[in-house]
Order: sequence, then structure tokens, then C-alpha cells
Amino acid sequence: MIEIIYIEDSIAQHPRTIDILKRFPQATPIPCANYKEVFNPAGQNFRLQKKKPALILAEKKGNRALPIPETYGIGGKYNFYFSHMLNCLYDCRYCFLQGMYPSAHYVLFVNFEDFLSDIQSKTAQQPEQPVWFFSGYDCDSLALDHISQFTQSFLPHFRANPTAHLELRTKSVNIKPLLNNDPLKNVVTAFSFTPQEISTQLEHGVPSVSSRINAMKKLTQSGWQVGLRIDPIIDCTNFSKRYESLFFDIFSIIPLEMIHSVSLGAFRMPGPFFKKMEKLYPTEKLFAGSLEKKQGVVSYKKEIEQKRKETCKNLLLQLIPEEKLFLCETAPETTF
Amino acid sequence: MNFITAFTQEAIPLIEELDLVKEDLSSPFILFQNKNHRLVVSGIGAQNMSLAVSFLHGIHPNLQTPWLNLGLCGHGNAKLGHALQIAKCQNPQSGKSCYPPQLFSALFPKAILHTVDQPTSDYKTDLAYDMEGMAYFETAIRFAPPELVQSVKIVSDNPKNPLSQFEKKQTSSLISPHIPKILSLISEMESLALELEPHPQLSFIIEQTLSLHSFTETQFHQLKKLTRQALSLGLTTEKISQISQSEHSAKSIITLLHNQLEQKRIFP
Repeated sequence: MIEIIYIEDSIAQHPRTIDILKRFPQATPIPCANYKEVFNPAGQNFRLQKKKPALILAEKKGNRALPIPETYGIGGKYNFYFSHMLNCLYDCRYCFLQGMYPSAHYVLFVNFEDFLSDIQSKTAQQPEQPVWFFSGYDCDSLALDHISQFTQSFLPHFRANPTAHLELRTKSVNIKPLLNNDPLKNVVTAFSFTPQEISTQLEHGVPSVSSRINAMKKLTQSGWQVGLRIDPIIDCTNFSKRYESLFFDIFSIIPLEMIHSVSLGAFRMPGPFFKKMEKLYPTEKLFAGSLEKKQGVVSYKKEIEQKRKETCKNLLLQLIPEEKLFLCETAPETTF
Repeated sequence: MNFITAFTQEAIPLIEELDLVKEDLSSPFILFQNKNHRLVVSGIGAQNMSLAVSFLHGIHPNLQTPWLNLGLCGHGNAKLGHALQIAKCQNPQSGKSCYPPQLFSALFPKAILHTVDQPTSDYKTDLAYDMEGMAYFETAIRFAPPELVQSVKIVSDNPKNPLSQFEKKQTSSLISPHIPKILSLISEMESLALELEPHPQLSFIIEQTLSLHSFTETQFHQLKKLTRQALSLGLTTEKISQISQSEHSAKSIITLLHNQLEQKRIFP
């Protein structure tokens, strides 16, 4: 439950701000000159704040649609990500957000119209080509949709602009906003997974694997395309069996033709992020794993990483054609 | 846990409730304490508050200790005796603001506090006023995570009952009714702070190992990391102690610990 809403002065009168405040009448509104006054101060403890994050309503200035790392694409040539929110409802121990951001408060940039304008302009630069926009890098695309109403605000734009493609990356089963709409060919809802035993230990607050598969099923039955994101791959005991079982559970229910893409990415983290995460959770087993730092990035030892990626790739290629499989290689970057 | 008040009268209800005992110290501040709680009376104004917070940190220099400022405030519209928890503190002269994160049960309504240099009769709606709040927050967050630095203010004056009519002897009667909720807040803050404490055996094992062999600075950091990981990965304290006692050099301890952990590093 949101008890405190910080409101940046510049968007205090924005219709979306007014609407959100109406929907959360029990929350105490606190004005701030700039959201960074609340979000950025050093010394904040992400782990403690995660227990009760506040909501910050702010205006996103500057570049709102940024190029993604080269190896993060899913088949398109022109790829951008945008972050209408910072931080996530869930608390995944491997998540880079806890290493990247000083605060666990949810920041919602309410000036959606500016995001859409930037998306429009990037799309217009390639009139004949599909241009991809990824929304779930710095937040979960659907988990806080009841607050942001992001889906209902953005889908009409993509309906009207079929060369603009949208990936909604999520671990949420909050698919109602999509089911309320007719399916769009240029929108992919991409679900992230680790095997249930890993999820239970590391993905705090995340819906179970089976309920996420069920959400995928409902979406595909309604005609929406889905994606599968096996990222990060977590080295674990019974690795092959667990991942094989996960893939079996998914592909025995979700029709292949409704799966747009599958991507694989090993656990990887910029060194400073990892150091901060280790400090936040000094007894976390994941961080005591067989990891090493190479060129400033913490990841599994090369032979383990290669072996695990290869295992997943081989398992997946028994189920999907190669053109649907994509490999993500680089670490997330500091984006704020 | 550390407490700061500006006046002794503001401290009395807490001193009584927590059985704090006045310490006989030759210091510029009066210190009351029991085994787990310390309270200092700062005196009026920002400078006194900053010094008092630093003084109190010096008494118990732990970076996970929670801090609570309890005191009186003026307010533009809240009733006398109303208790408020500060969610934003601002110095209107400098324009500086801070936003203590609010993680605890909603025991008190939240308020915005303006810290002013002089007592004011120019009350604005929805604002609380004091003379120490900003200095308290700015100094205390150097010594603890901001989540553990909180302030509760009780309204002592407002436009209908200006400060000129306030008598100091009323202080305790304004604060005392809120003591049960303040104790709940203290308890929540202390529980949260406990989560930040390192593994209880960690420093013991490291100190024990350091006393047995000579470690370089690099080896010390390796030992610290490996011991922390060993405890995370389920190596018993006895086993770790056994390794440090059986080996004859810092280097061999680190090698053996490293080898022992290799088998356990895979995620369960």
C-alpha cells in the first residue's frame, strides 16, 4: 500500500498526477522541487526501503527513448528502451536495480505524452522499418499498471503506428489491461523465468512459475504474442533437470506460433552494482557463488557460464526454431 | 537507540518511561542512558543540535543505531497536543530539504517541518515549525541510514495559541499521551536496525584468526570475504575456527578456506 506520494512541483497539476492522487486518497502527498531530492541522496538503504517504498511522481526530462545495448535485440535493427518508471514491485535478489539506484521508491514519470512523442519521432526516422521499444528495463512493465495505467495509455499509440513495436517485459500476471484490448501484432509481452526452486529463493514477491505460464496462456488464447526471457540464467544444483522442466512446462502449454522470441542471458552485473548488492545482503548465497570479475563485470566463471548457456540453448533448440532464439551478452549499464 | 530533545522537559516522559539514568559526565551536554538507549538534551538551535548529535554518536559510535528526535513544534493549523511524524524537513532560508523515508506503521500523521532561526508567529497552513529539525536530520544521517533517522513533534503552539502563551511546564503533559505510540515506533526502529547487524559470529571468527597469524592488508580483506561467504554457505563456526587453528600461515588458511568453499558455491 502506498502511504506517501512525493510530487515534483513541475507536474503537480498534471492530469495524471491529479488522477493518481484521487485514486490514493489515503496517501500523504509531499511536494518536492525535483524527484532527485528524494531519490538520489547517498546513504539510503535500498534493502530497508524495499519494505515500504513510497511513490514519487515526476517529470522525465531529456532523452526518453535510448538505444539498447547491441546484443539485447530480438530481431529488429532499430531498438530503443524507455523507462516510464524506475524500480519494481518485486524484490529479486539478482536484480541490478538494487545495485544501480540509491532508493527503492517507485518513480513514475507522468508525462507519458512526452515519451510517446519521442517514440513517434524515433519511429518516423525509419518509416519503412520496424522500430522496437522496450519498456521493462528499469521497472516491471505490468506489475504497477494499476497505479500507472501505462498499458491503456501506450497501447493506442502502437495500435495507430504498426511499424513501432513494443516489448512489455514482466514477471507479473496482471494481464487484464491487455485482455481488455484487441491483440496487437506489434506488441510482445515478454515473461522472465527462472525454475520454480530458484524463483522461490531469489524472486521475492513474484507470482509462481505456473501462474505466470497461465497468464501467458490466457494472453495467447486472446491472440497476444508472448516472449520468453531466460535472463538471468542462475547456476544451480540439478541445473539441466530444472531448466528442462521449466521449458517443458512452458512449451507444453504455450503454442509455439504465439511465441515471438526467446532470449537467454547469463547472470552479469557491473562491479560497483555487485559490490553494493553484496553489502546490502551479505549472507546471500547467490553472491557467494562461483563468480568472477572480468573487465569490470561480475559473472559466473567463463566455463560455467558457457556450459549453462549451452545447456539452455540446446534444450530450447529442441523446442523452438533457431531464428526465435536470441542471446544477450553485455551487462546492464548505469542509466540514470 | 539514540534520542535527542532540545529541552529537558521534552525528555522527561521518555526518561521516565525508559528508566534512563543521568550520567555524571564533564561534557557540554546532559546524557541519560540505560543499557540500550541514550538520550541527550541539545539546547536550542541548529548549532547545539548538530553538536549534540555528534556528541551522542561519539558515545556509541555504531552506524546502525536508530535515532529519534522528540520535541515540540508550532503548526499552522494542527491542534495543540497533536503528534506528527516528520516526512519532509526544510530550511526555508537555505532552501535545503530532506525527506526521511517513512517505513514504519502509520502511528502518526505525516508533516512537513520548517526549521527556522527564530521563533515565528507567522504560521502557514499545513506546516510545522521548529528550530533544530534540519540540523538534526543533516547531522544524524551521517551516522545512520536515513531510514533510521526519524522525528516526532508535538504541537505546542498554533495561530490560536501562539508561542507567547505557551508555558514550559505544559511540555510533559503534551508529550506523555503519545508515549505508547512512541514506544511502538522505537520498537519498530530497533527491529529494523537489527536487520543491518552483521552475522553475530563474523567479527569473533575474524578476530580469533587474526590473533593467530600475521595477515597483510590484502589477506585481511580476503579472510573477511571468505569468512562471510563461509557463514553464508553453511560452514559452521567450529569448522572455520578449526581451519584457522590447524594451518600455519595466513596464506594456507586462505587457500584452505577457498578450497572448502569451492564445493559449496553452487546455488542450492
